Amino acid sequence: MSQTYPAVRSGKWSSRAEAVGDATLRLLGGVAHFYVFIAVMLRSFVRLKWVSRPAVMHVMIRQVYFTGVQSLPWVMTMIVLVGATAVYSVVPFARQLNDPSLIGKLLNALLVQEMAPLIIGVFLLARSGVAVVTEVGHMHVRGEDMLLRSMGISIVEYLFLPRFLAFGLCGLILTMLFAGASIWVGGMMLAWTNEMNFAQFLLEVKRGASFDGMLLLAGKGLLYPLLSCAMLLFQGARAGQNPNLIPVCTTNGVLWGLMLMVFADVGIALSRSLL
Amino acid sequence: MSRLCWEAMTLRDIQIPQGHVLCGEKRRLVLPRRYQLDWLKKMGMPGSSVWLETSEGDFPGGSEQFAERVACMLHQCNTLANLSLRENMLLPFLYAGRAAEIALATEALPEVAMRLDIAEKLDEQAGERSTYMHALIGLGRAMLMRPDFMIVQDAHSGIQPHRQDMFRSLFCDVVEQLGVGVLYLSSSAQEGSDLDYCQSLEFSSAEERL
Repeated sequence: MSQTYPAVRSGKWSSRAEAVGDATLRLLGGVAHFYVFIAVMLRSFVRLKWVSRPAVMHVMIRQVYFTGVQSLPWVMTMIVLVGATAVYSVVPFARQLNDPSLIGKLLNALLVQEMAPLIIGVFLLARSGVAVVTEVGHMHVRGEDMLLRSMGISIVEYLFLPRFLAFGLCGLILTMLFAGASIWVGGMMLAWTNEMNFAQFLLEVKRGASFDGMLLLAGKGLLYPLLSCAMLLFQGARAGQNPNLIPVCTTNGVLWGLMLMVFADVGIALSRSLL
Repeated sequence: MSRLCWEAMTLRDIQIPQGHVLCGEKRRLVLPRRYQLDWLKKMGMPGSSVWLETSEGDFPGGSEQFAERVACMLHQCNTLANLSLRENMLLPFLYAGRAAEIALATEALPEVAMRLDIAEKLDEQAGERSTYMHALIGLGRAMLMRPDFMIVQDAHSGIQPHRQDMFRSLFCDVVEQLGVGVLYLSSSAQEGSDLDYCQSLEFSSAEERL
């Protein structure tokens, strides 16, 4: 027993090392595939053939309607709730410190530049993202990808690109709407409860706003939905012919989409602090 | 004269020799369903082993030029579930985006739909449909495209018995009217199409031989 123990132990460690190595290779392989997937989609976007294809535009319009227009009631509800929460947290805090200029600075730093893109990104991921993975997965399972290929239709151009672009467009518009409207609604609530004059509130917000902040808001509002949508489509395409894989791919798509957004947020914050 | 050609290929455990179909000819490959799918996948891949020889040049399978001249009727898979039947039939034209062809196809669609007896269903969402409806949509699309060749995958199998005769005669009429070359991929030598094949090659997998 004492002679075999080190062998068993080293075998255990080597199998663990092998498992870690395999997982790392799988992860790197997945990253490489994802990179190629995005590159193919971007190439298709840059070629601009999709603009002259009514079938592709129909898919995009439908996706914009589903992702952007139909989600407006939900976004409006979040605007009211988040706007109220933000102003009622920030204004008393600024009053405590006797520095009204903090209102604009904090609202711009927290609500506009951080919360708005993340909330809209997560919302799109949860609402439309799940539908996108499931739809693409089912199309593969039903063999509709083969039908499209048999008609000379590019899967990337017809299936992926319109959804990708619709996510980016809706993400950008909803993020801008969310940031602007939540501040507006918050200010109205403050005025309604006699906490602060509406014009004075807007003046403080304007003082704290900057062009860089607006650019950052637009950049994040575009980037997060695009990243998450690319991941969702990538996972949906991995379902292949196996219907049992659709829920697995959906879960992976949502989780990895969320992780990508968080990674991008951390990356942007680090690069801003370094620059 | 156009030719639909394929090179010798290995599908799992069977060897398919190279071959071709001329315009107006009917040839058949009898092979199990999953081998048919492999054949079709090979056709749509980049660097495809299936191509079309025409006076304008060679067009590989999966290319737009190939798809314009070769219509495919797949078994139980001729519609996209989230489109209407009308959009499904016009899809190749709506994708290509040539306004004149879209206008012509849109104009011809009601007549084609009447002939297939699906005129009143055109605006319904495709969703899940019967094998018969899938075959009709595939046939209707081919009628609108007016291709040189048709690749037909087991279109006659799985159709409800009371509709089989109707579909068989409709299919034969359309094939004769279009004068297309047909490559029929079937899983049975008695596939029921009534086409007059000039060649029929039968393959069986190791699994079936056991």
